[in-house]
Amino acid sequence: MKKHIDDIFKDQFDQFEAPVSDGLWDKIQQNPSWQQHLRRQKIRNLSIYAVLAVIVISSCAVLLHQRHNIDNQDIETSSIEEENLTVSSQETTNVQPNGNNEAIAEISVDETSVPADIAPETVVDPTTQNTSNTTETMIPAEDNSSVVNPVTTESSVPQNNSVSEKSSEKTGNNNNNNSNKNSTQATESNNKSNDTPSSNETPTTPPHTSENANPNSSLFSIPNAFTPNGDGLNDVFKPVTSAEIQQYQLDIFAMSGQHIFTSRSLEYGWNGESQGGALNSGNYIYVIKYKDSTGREHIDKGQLLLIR
Amino acid sequence: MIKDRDIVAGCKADKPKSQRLLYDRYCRMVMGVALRYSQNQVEAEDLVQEIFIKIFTKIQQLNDEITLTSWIHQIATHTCIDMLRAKKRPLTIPYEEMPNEIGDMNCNYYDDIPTEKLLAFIQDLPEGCRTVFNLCVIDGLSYEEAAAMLSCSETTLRAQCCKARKILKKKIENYEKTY
Repeated sequence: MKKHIDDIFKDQFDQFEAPVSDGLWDKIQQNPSWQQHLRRQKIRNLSIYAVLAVIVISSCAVLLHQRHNIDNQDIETSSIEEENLTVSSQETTNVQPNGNNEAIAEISVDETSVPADIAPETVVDPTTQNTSNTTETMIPAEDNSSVVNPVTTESSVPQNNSVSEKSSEKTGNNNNNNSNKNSTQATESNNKSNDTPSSNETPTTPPHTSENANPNSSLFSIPNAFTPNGDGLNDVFKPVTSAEIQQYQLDIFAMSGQHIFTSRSLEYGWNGESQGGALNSGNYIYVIKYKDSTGREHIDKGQLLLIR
Repeated sequence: MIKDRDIVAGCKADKPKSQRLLYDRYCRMVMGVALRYSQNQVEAEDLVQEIFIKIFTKIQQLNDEITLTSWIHQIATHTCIDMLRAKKRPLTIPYEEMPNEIGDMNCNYYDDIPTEKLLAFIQDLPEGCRTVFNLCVIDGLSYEEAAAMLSCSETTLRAQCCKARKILKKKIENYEKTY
């Protein structure tokens, strides 16, 4: 039988397979070029892991750093708040002896957070509660109403009493101590009298109580001095309020009228610096513009003392 | 039975287990190719090593698992040719050895020659002849393709092929006579 030589080999070797000696796989594994390939792979994997590790570590570091910063900020803000709280409490106690209606108003605002417009009425509530504080504050209130002389210190109370109607004052005191009903009547009469002589009151108040230009409407506790020396105590001048405030703006001016500082955030106070750097000790003027919850516009002005 | 697709996926992920499976499945075929292109068993095994290393390192380039068999086959032949190139054995033959006439390429054949014997015939061929014969006859490449692969002229290939056929015919006829 004749057959073309090509066909013979094609047929025989088309799907030709041959057995492989057993050790060949191991030989492949030990082959230098294969080892080299594995080494390269290892290096590549290691480098990938290294890059991943670097990314993870760096991101962790960044996150930790950020969190650390936030914590610090929290501590700072909380300390500042504490400062302000102490300042405000000090101030309220300072103001109390002055015996103005505004002081009562402030206390009532602090305690009950009622807008200042209704402050005279709210004075009634503390008296009904019959607390010692309210009785104290009640006395000067009556003084104001009766004498129409807002500058009354505790020491001056008896003087005023003596100058004005002693009997009514005494009865007022007695009423406060004895029966609540009488005291409420007294305060009501105060309110009535306050409504009319308010025009007389306002011109006399500013020189003495410079902090609150608009006595009945101030929702802020405003420190009159601060010490930006970095000791962590009263380093920032910042009005404090518990009431709802809208469109707040704090401006600081030098006595010469030069504008120094503006803040639109309740959290952000003045640290005693201008663009030119730290300012010297002395008097400065603050102007606070804001709207209360009813949308009424207020402007508080006054002086503050910078002490270094 | 694990599918080729899974094995390829494993090999692409450089998993030694998958590589071993691929080797177990295709080593016989690769060995068959390597034997044809080499002179002896030892040389063939060296080739098989190289082929599999190439398969494992280049498996990322394999797009379709369906073509795995032909892809491996292709890698095998290419690796064999590259090895021959590395040895720098000339594929050309001197002019005087060129067969001047193409004789009758049919021979008496009774299907009784064992494959091992035929393989031995191929392996005994001169290097150039063997490569060309493998490429053009058994692997079925056209002269043009083979010429491109081996970077030599088509004429040379035809001549080499002729020479191989003549030698093989003589060997088969001798074998038939003796047995």
